[in-house]
Amino acid sequence: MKKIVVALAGNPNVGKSTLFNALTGLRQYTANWPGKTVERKEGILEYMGYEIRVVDLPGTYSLTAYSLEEVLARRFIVEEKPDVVVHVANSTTLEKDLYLTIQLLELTDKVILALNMIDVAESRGIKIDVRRLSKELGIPVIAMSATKKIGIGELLRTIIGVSEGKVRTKPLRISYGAELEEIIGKLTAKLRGYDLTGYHPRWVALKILEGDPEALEIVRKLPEGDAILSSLSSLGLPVTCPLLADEKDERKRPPCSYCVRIGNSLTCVLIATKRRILAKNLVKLTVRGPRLRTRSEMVDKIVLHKLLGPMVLLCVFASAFILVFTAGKWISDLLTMGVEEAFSLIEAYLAGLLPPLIYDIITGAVFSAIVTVVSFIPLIIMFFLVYSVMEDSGYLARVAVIMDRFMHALGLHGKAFLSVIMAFGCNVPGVMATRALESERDRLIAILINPLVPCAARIGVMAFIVSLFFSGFKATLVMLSLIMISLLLVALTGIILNRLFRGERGRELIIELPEYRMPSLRNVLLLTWPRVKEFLRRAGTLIMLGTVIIWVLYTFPTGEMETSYGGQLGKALEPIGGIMGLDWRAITSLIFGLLAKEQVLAAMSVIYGSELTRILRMSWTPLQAFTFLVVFMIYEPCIATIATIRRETNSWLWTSISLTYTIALAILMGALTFNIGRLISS
Amino acid sequence: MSWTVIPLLMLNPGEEGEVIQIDGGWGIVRRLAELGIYPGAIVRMMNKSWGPVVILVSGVRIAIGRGMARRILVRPIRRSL
Repeated sequence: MKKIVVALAGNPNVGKSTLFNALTGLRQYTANWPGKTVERKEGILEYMGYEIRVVDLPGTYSLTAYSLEEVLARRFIVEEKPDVVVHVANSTTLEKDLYLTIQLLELTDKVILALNMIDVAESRGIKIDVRRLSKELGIPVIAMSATKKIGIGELLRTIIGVSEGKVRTKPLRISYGAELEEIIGKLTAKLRGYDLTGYHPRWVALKILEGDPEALEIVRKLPEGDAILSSLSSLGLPVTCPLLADEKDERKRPPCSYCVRIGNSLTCVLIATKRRILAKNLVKLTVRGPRLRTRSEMVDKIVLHKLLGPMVLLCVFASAFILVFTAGKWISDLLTMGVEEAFSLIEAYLAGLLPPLIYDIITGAVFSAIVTVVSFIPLIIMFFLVYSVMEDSGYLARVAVIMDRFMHALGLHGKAFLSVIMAFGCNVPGVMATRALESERDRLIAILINPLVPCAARIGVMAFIVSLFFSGFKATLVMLSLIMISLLLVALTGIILNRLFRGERGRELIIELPEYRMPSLRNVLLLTWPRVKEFLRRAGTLIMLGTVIIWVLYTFPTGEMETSYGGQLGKALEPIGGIMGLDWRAITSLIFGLLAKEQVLAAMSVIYGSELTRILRMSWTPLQAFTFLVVFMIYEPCIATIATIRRETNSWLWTSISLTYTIALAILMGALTFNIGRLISS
Repeated sequence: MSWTVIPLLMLNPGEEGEVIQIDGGWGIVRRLAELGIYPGAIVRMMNKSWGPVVILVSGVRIAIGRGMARRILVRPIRRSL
């Protein structure tokens, strides 16, 4: 079978991954780029007797060696020489995307432009003259939609056509204007005949004039490299970039000391501007219809308004919260009932069949673990669904804008708030979401405050216990006050860390605001599924394992709760519990939250016995229950979160600081709550 | 043609300007350039009610912090009707 290698290039957020998934389905694998931490996705498909290997290049806006992603993308194209490069563009923001197409054409001839999301563009009244665009660019242009599966067959046939040479490409050659072309020409002539690690001489010449670090390095390594570079001064006046002349820090200065002045401008600026103008002109020639939706503008007038914006945000979050925890709870109750019913039938059946010890493990530990997991899955699914709807509709980017002001108090910018929102679902993706922050210092602060945000699992446990001690409106108030406490601690911790960490403050917020759109069910499910899957994987293994461990600890060696290993551990820690008004049973239940926060309820049902509800109501005062919840909410993140913090900070020190801090804070807050509460009530 | 250069932040909603200079470190200039904000680019102020301002660059809305908007210098473009 004939083999074809296809590379997918494109800006971030153009549906490149959706196309990749549509092409390769399940036959894909993920690796890292050699020696780098950037993910490399590849997949294989068969079509019309060809085996097509698809490589998903990192999303980039340009092809200058400013970022690792850009270097990886262009090295792949130059070094591994894919048969075809498909540039995936967003049909609704064509001008921005064409900037990359133009640069790809300078790098390789075999480019196909895939106009993705053509259905969205059409629904907005945008008309693209595909044939004209194809003629102007000199490459095949395919209008398509990866989500609606439009044009995928045509794209595949064109890929085969181009790789077989049956579809001829004659890429547009950009002329950068007489003055610039003269310099480019001279430099190109000087570079001819040298080994430029696979790059074309003209391309290297252009990149040098753009101040590209990698191109400069290639030339410097040539035998007469320095001579070539210094000869630039005879072509024009080499200048230090005035855009950055007052940058004091040497390391932050750009490496483009070979900028050449033409008139009042610099080559690096002129080259970029030429490309932009070309993109603009191409759009003028080929695109008709509204470029901008005024509807988004009207919505933004309200959503980003000084006063209305935060109010809308509060309303959206409150309703999202209510939706997740009422609908989620309702489904969860239904499921739990069903599962318990089924288990009681199975138990009766197993009773005579299995040896007593195994029967006890299965009914006492395994079944209760499954019940715990089942009761939390609906909450998590609901949370991620709502989050994905907000993401897909375009609202989430606005949330970052609205929260930017507030986050400044913590020395962070608005994007950090998105990791806080994610943490309400689960701290693991919450901590991972801090990757969007550019500065190391910002990331560290965002990671350290993250475990203080109560995740859906914690909120679920809290809601259950609150419902035992308080009812109706009072219960809502108690829940609200608990969440307010945790948010206050998040803010306070952030403010303190901001003072403590002197390092480079992160840059200000820069975020692309997509057009608002109706979330599509498909997109929302595609966004939700991987998040849920990850949770299930963890929950399935950790909770199952944890419950069995708890059961063993509370059964052995004596078979009596109080004298078991678990009981002994709890008793040893009772003095600490004492200052918070919590007895050994409460403390021991909390210890098992280390495995997973949902585990606390499972542990309590083992420790307090099957009639948990009645026993708890009898043995705790409402104040003790409240204190327990405060401690439960704050103290150490679950083991999965700890592992994630370790992975993301790459430091055991910060991981243990996070752990120690949350435990100490929980004890402090617990003691405060209990003693202040006692004073007030007496 | 006016040659007055003002910070991007001073543009009123609906007004356009040509980016002349970006006063900032290498990283910021690069990040802005990726999003199409570089000398010569035409930007339009969309929204500056509170916190970050929203601008339009080659058909894409971008929110940027006020401090940064202050360090992007633009030449206002007056549309003669």
